[in-house]
Amino acid sequence: MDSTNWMDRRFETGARYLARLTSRRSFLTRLGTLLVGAASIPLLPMSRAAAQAADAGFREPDIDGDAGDPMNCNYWRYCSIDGFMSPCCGGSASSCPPGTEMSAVTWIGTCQNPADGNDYLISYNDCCGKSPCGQCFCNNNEDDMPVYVTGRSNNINWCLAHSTTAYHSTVALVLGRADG
Amino acid sequence: MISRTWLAGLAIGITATPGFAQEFDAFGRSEVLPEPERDWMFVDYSLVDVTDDRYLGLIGVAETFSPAAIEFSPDGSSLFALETFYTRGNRGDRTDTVTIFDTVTLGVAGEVVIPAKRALALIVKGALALTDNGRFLGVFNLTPATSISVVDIEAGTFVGEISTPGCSLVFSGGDLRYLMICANGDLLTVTVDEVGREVSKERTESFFDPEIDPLREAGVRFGDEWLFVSFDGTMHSVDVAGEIPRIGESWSLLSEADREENWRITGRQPLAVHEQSGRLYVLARQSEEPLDDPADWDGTEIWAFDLATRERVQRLEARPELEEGGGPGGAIGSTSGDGTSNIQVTQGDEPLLVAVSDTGISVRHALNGDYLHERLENAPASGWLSLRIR
Repeated sequence: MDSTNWMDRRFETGARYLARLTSRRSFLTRLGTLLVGAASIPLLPMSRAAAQAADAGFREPDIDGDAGDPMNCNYWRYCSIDGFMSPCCGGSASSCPPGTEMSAVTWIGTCQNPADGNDYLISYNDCCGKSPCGQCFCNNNEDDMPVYVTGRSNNINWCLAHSTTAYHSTVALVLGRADG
Repeated sequence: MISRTWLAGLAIGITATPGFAQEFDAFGRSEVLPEPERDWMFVDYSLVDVTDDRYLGLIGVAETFSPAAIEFSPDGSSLFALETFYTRGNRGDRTDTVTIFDTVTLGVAGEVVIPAKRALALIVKGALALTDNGRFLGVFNLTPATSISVVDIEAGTFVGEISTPGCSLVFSGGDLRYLMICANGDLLTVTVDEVGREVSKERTESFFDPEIDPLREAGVRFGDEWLFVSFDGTMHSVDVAGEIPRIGESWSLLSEADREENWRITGRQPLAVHEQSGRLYVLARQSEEPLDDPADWDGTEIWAFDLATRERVQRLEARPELEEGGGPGGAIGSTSGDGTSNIQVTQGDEPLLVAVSDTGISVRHALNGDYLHERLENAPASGWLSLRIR
């Protein structure tokens, strides 16, 4: 794949993904119906989009402690990701694929871990220095902000501070509790 | 045995027009464009005649690390684009340029090397801005420190860099001024002198509150005003005519009834203005939930507002009911793939409304909504729509 098309890929694959799935918030809607007694249920409105996704055969990820499935776009850490998921590209949710460099600066989101119900700060670092991975595109935008709120925008190539800005993939690091 | 060649020659002899003599082509000829017309529109870097459904040519921008952000000289003779190069393809030393294209030959007319800092982000509006006097091109830098690089178009030189901490994107704010949007919702005014050097920077506080209702980046120009729409459908304006940019009264595109029906303003290129009639066209769709990023969701309707009265005067289906859609993912600008992502309107007496949809690019008469082309056959499937002539 041509490295110059990283952004096209973000748009293209994201568009296909959007067409099939709905937002993380919709996912939480469905999840909320599963977590009997969860305090968040009253806060989560039912959505037509969610119903449509369910009709299309949407598969709930297996939630078991922190594990979940890091190769699934609905993995809890990915609530504000916009890029190719590193585990599909030879890395993990917290490490970059071989031969790439983790971006030093990045955008920060807040995601809820369904295993314990706590909110965590997530750092979405891009993996830099190679052509786009092209595997497992994931575009969730929970609390994504426009580019002028720089540190909370996922519409930026965060390899921008590196000597080479080629975008390859993205990790989601848990930095700590959002409320602590 | 009679050879096939002989038979073929006989056949040609029978069918050829008496006296016909094939002329030979001259080698090496390239087209140049005639006088530009108002219905010429760039779809990303491709120039298309949207009336005749004709592909006119391509601006040869080498690298597309960000969407097709372009600016035109006031007389329309030059087009400015941003390019990024590495000495080894996707690695090595980085060079950023402002590249100047001739809009008649569509060839490169010049380039100015700028600091290798330009923002590599999914933005079109705000990536670069030409001052209203047509002389100084500002380029938004993000390293992630924010600044603008100023290029003197007349002299063909890089003038300098202006630090703009906390403020991003760049819009023209008059003859010698830029506007930028700050992370806390302030508006930054950057003034330059007659040679493009920084004179002053001033913040206008509380233009909006990004924590409550952020502005979309994709602003549009209407005369001396910049118009921006918020995530929640509120229009904000900045008038740059006076000595100090003046923030206008904000107003909502959504009535109470619209809100009850969960209408929201969406699309990657959600706004377009027809100057002469003062009509603002916007993309809208229904969603019960607020959308985390409205740019990712196509509009299902196009609404037109009279900017003088702020009344909605027109309501159109966003795209034709074509059975065979192109589907999402054609190129830049594709989004949820179930409606229209980008709109633009040509200027003049008979404006055309051009829309990028999952079914391709449609063209209709803006004032009555009648289709001229339900789908352009000789145009890219999608892309950012830029006017060749305002």
